[in-house]
Amino acid sequence: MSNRTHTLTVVGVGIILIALLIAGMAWSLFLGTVHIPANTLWQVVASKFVDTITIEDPRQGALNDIVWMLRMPRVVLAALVGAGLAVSGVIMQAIVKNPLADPYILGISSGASTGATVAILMGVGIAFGEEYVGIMAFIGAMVISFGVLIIANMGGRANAIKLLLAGMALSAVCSAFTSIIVYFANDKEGIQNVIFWMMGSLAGANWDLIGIMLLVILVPIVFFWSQTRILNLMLLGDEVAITLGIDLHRYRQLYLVMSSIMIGFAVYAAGIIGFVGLLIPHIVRQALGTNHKGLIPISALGGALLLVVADTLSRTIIPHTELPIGILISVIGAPAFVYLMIKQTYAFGGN
Amino acid sequence: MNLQAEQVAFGIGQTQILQGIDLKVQDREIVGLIGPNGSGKSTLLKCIYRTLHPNAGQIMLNGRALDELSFRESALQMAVVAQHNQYQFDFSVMDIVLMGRMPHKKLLEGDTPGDYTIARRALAQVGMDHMETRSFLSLSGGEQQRVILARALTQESPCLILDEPTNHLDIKYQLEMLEIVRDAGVTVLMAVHDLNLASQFCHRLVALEKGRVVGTGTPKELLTPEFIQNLYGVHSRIVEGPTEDSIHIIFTETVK
Repeated sequence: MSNRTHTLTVVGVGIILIALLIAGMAWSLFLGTVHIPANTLWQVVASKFVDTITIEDPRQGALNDIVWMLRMPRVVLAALVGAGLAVSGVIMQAIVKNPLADPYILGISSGASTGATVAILMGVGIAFGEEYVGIMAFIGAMVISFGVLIIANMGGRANAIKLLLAGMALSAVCSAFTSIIVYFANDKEGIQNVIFWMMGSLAGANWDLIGIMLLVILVPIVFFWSQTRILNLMLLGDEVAITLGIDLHRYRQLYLVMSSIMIGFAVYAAGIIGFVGLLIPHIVRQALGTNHKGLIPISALGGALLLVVADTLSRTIIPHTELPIGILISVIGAPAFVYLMIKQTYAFGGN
Repeated sequence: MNLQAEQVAFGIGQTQILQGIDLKVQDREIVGLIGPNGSGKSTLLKCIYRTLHPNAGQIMLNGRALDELSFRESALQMAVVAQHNQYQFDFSVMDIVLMGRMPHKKLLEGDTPGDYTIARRALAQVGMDHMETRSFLSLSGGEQQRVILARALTQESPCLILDEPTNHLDIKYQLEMLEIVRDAGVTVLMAVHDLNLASQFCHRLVALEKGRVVGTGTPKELLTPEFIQNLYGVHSRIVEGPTEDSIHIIFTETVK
């Protein structure tokens, strides 16, 4: 496979994934508690863009609301969160130079959980309004990210190992704190809310949220794609990078901050959804190699597709009940991960 | 392109690894760094290629102190083949070699056909041109070492720093690697274990022991049986070498 065929492969896989993503999103719009026939669905969608198509259904108002206010934002949010999680998985793996890293490796999920727990059980941050749980989770995630960055930079420059250790330490502190609050809480419903929140859900989607998410997910993804060279170099380590003229230190800090913001918003919008950021980059690395030129866009598309499909299943697999998407993805993801592991051709970066 | 170290010292805690090293490599001169394990060869090279910073003294490239140069500027001046090249992630051979073009690139600039030409030429030089699309991790240690040399050549810098470049290589590629380095027509500073290879390919040798320079000169001047005995603790005989005016060392036994 020459480099030209490699580029063509990446483009080809990209086109296939885009087609699958569009198909997946259409399928997701189609499924739900209210049955909408395919041609009606098409009219409802198209009527937004083309003036000459009008809907003659008397229930058009209701259908319009279901498609445009409920299902559509949710599908778009699923795609954005999936893309964000997959790409920040790729970035974290480069930052800590370890193929087993995921977006939450530096303690972001623990920070977010603590934030959400103090919000739900202690009412901290109610002043932020309706969305206060998500906002507190975002704050928790950011505090931990910057805490990890600051601690890892104490007593000399941060490196991959110091980042990981700082992440583990802060993570442990946060988990302990969360457990204490839950342990002493007398609020059964609140505890259930915490658990539900921790398992992730895309039910909170709305168009205002999509507006923010487009910005905080797509801009970083495009930025990271432009950083292909530096990211590739990160995988080879600081020594090699210096002999090739690049000091990785400040890039690592910048990428960490950008990736944390991306994850913080993903957590704010959808709670903690594991496995996507680990599984998707691995599948793509296995198929297309580890060069970020292909890895970033294909991971973004793969993550988007996985989350769209998983979210659709999570809200339709049990009638009238929503299965938390975190559970669903772990159920699909863990066996897929084991399959990758036992397949001989891929050694998880080890040899 | 010349390279100079002045009173370079480096230590970690109480342990002094380098204690005031003076060294000069002239334009297009090939200088071999010899000395027993732990004598500070790698540490000195790391100070020169900037992954360690000396505690005292300074290192100059063409008369300019390294500290005044950006990493990019020094990467344009010298390319490095380091000792350990163990990577966790799998790149293709071409991906690795193209990274040598890094210092020549603006941040957002892509790889041009010219870069590919330079990279292919370097791969051909090390005899790896049929391996372009192979995965780097699937190569043998010796093949990996040659790919790393190809990356250094792709950097097109007037100075090469090599740390034990012939490790992992079988005899043909040991000779071939050093022939490539010799024929590159650049300033070379390399650490070598094999004294016979060192004397065959180096214009001059610098011997280190316990972080100090204990001798310098052409291989023939420097490598006397007495000197080798003092430095390495082995007895040896010197015979005529494979090329004109060169020497070959036969090691007989350790000093009891």
